[in-house]
Amino acid sequence: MRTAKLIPLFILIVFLQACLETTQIEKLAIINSRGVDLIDEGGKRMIETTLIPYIFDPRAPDMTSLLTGKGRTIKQARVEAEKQSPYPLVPGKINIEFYGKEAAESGILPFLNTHVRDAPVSDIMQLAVTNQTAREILEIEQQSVELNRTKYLQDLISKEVEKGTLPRITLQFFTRLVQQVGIDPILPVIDVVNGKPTLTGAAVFQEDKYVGNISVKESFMANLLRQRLRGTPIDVGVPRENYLGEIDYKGKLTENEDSIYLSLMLHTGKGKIKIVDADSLAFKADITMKLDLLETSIPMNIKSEDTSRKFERDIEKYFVREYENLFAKLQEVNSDALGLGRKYITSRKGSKTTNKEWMEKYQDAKMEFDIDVTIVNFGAID
Amino acid sequence: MKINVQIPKGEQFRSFYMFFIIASMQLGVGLIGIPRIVFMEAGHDAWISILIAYLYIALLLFVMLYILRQYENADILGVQADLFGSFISKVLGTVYILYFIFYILSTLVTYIEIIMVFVLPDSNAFVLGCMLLIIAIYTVFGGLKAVVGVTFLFFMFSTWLFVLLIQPIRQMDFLNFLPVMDKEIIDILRGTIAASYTFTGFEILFFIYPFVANKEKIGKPVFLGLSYFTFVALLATNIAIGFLSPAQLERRIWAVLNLFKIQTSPIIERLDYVVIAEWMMVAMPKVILLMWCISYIAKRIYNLSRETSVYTSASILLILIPFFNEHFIIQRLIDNVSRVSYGIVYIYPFLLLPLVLLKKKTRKK
Repeated sequence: MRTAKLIPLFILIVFLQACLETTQIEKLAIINSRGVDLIDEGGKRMIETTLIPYIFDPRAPDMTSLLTGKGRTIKQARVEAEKQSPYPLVPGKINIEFYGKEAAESGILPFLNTHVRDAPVSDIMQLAVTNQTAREILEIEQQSVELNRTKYLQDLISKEVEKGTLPRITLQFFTRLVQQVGIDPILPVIDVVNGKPTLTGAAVFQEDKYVGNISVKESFMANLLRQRLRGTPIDVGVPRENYLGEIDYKGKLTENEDSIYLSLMLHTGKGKIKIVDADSLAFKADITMKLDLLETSIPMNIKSEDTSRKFERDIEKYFVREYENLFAKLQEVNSDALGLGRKYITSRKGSKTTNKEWMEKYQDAKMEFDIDVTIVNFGAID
Repeated sequence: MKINVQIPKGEQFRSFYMFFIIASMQLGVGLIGIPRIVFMEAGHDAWISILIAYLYIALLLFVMLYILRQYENADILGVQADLFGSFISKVLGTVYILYFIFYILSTLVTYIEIIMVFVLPDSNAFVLGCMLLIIAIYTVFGGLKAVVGVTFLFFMFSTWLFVLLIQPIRQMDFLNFLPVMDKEIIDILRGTIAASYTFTGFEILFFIYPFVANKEKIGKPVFLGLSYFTFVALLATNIAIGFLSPAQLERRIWAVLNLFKIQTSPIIERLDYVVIAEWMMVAMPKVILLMWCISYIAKRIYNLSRETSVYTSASILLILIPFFNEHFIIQRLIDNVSRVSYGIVYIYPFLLLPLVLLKKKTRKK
């Protein structure tokens, strides 16, 4: 009797499932990469998006295609681009989003707003900037890249993030830093070099505006102050005259160089910013690096511990110089990519320092770098 | 109405299960929003607010157990009948039924809203509500033992969700917690009050107490259940504060789901979809237990059969669900339910306590 009573419930729960919508993957175009540019059209600023969707339909001749659309909002531009596609475009798996120079310089938060609001959009989407237009990059990628085309740009960047030369660049992390007082984000820059999309450096932001360029090495140095890193390749130049006794090779190629170049691998590295004096805005960064020596530009014979120590001191000097340059550069473009402001604000109880107030102070901030380098391994020879 | 209830041995369960009942009643959709709600008031000192809430509720549970222990085997309805007489007890019991119906409603519509925003934007609230309620109805028809069993199993099957928090934990920024005690103490207390909706659920102790076989050992599982939930709430709040920037946290309605959005696996890239589906196991025990409570109270005060009360309350819920289809209407419902809960759950036991003591004294004389 009881079972008989429950049968209608069972029937109901089975049939109710049909009321939920279904979507067939073959009937969708899943957007994979997206480029955002600002264009001028009849005096009005419009958003132009370039989309590369995946198409799963087995009858389609190509897995990907390139669509463009214009509109006042990102969504509108997507709807516009959808007019060129036989299948609905879905944004759930955008792996990478590009911003053209103009769009990035005007601030990219308005473009990100839609992603944050739209829950199905992935938070681990990667963001990147280009000094050309995003459309150009994606068009060239479609033409020039043959291997693994759908993931090419994504992999190009994510391998750098894994190595630690670039900080995390996910949508989640970027929006986190943009709105956090006292730290500014960094994104990779991809430009076309020799007809191929290439990682050329990193873009520093002031809040959400692209304000300056730094090299990949400088981006690594900034990243080291944010998180513990390992396995990052590093190139360093040390003055040649310090090592005349250890040089193991005489040849025309290296005779006239002032520096010996070392290729090293970061074994472990970490950095921390400290406040020396909050009133005079004096900061100090303590950075420790444990390195493995992989290659020297001139073959050398590292005979004793003294030579190793000499290397370490010279590498330290090199990095102090580089860090000071980087800091000066960042101060010039008014971007606190190292995150000094975070330290400052967390030390001030009860004060609600706004980003604007901090940016005024940032110009007067002074920073010292204390770097401690240890060379752990020299490989199989000394 | 009888003060003490006779429960046949076959319907009793061991006090050990009270841990799962209390914890499951507190876990639920409220947990998804707690980091933001508390953060809005208490800032990054939200963890202090949650600890204060924990202490207050621990005291409250102590008082509730003390009241129940004054009787041989009574529930709150029996206590009220003893103190205020049969009629008032019936009125208060009806208030409880109404409160529980709206409590279930707020849980269901929040969960349905989340499904519609994240996974199935074109789905129908009525259909989803129907599917969820069928599970609840079916379980309640199985009797209290089935209800407790489902609670236990759903609890066990949903604990693995913790594993998915590893990635956000690794990306936490501990500077977000500094400086400690940045806000005024009054703001922190306001955060405690804001957390109250999420913490409700332990009031079920008042109804389920007569069914516990070994009552002398009930204290430990009840407090551990509360501690477990507090630990989960603290974990969720602290990860959210560390992982999201203040500006992000202030705007994310379901901050806990945002934590899961960062986690991927080689097979499933978007685990947040899995989490939302799995969250049914977190949310449903509450609905099921409350549904059982409604049928129990209806039986006690109106002598209604289980079928009648369950089908009636389910129909009321199904009729109401489609009306709560806008975000701000749902928020208003939750606000109102939590406002009522301040009275019924958080203050009422303290008012009851002196009366119970007074009664005890007069009885001795």
